[in-house]
Amino acid sequence: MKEENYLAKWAEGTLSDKELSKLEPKQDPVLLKKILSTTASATIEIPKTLNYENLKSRTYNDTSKNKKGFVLQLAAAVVTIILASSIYFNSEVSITSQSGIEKITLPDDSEVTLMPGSELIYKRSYGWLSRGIEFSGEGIFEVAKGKPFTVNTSNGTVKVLGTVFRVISNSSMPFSVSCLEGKVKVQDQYILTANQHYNESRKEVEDVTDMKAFLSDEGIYYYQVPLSQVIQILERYMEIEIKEDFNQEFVFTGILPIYELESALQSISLPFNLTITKLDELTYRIND
Amino acid sequence: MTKSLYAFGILVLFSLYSWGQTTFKTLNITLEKASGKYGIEFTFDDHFIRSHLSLNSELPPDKETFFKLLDTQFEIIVSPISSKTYVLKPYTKNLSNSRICGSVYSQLEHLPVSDTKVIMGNQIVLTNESGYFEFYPKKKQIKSWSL
Repeated sequence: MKEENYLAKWAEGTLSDKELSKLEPKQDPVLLKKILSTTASATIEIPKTLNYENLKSRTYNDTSKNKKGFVLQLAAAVVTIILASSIYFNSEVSITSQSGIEKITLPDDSEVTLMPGSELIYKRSYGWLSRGIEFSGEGIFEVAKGKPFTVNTSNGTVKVLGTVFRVISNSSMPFSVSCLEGKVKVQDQYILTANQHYNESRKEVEDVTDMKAFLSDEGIYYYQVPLSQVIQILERYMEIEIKEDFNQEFVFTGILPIYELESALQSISLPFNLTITKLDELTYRIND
Repeated sequence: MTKSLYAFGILVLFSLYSWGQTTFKTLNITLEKASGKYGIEFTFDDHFIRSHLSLNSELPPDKETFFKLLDTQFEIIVSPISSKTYVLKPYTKNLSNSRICGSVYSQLEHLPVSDTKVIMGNQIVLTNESGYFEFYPKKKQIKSWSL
């Protein structure tokens, strides 16, 4: 017999002497007798209204309330999670390139090279249902294959699947797109393939025999970009000021060497027969 | 026999149409080819380069000879600004006293004709909305003209 059963029989007083002798050496006989004397005088009052059915119904009602409470808690948790997720995924990530060239990787492994003074904004939900970004300035996009990739600018929209292209969209400069690889749809009507260029001011697609890499060890490649815009890029990149003192609308094509100021200044002046004058450490004037 | 004559007539008309639609390659095409051949890059004034017809011969085997051709035929000085990048500088661009310009008008309608190609020597320019055109000044005397 188990020890607890011996104790129960002992408490009832039905334990034989033999069984008692087995129990008592293990237990403190004084303590046992004290428990017995205390419990003998204790009385438990059972309410008259208490019966099994009553108890059962009360217990059932409590369980139902608990279940309702659990469902409400679960619903509240789900709503909280949905709200929090909605706020989080609708929040935006904004990246601005101040003076240098910044290369960033988007969540889908697409890469964007931001030229000085450019800004890119995307939602945290980027890549789930679509791939859309807000953009201003100048950027080189190397888009990973996947869902349609859309670049929204104040001057126009560019849609692609997987390709390499460059967008120039400044408030003061004409909107242009150059495609190096793949296919690009501009303004929902012009389709550019590799080695093609779109210029908003002329509203036409032009073939380029050999489109150069947009960014190389030699510098940044520009194709038919107004000289004033190239000068602005150089100003932001080199953190200098160049005062323009010419009236003609020059168009720049070629490499802008951004790694050395002297070469950069030559490239914006010599082809146009313009003269560069150094005014102070950080200020230059370019005139005809 | 009549059918053959019709076919011949259509062929002649198509040839005349194609001849009228001749597209002129400009110097930027030559530069793109030269860039690929010599492994170098050019930086230039896009308007100036597109106002010149492409080189009418094959590219020379070395870049130095090509640079000389640019100098003698197009009056362009080639200056290196890095190991691979060269700037193209038109050295007679500022000769404003020898500028050649004009306007193209339709004799039938007596109205200016825009977007018409005017060729002088190796230069090719388009008339603007007022029918006006202007060539870059050159040191050398130019003899040939066409419209």
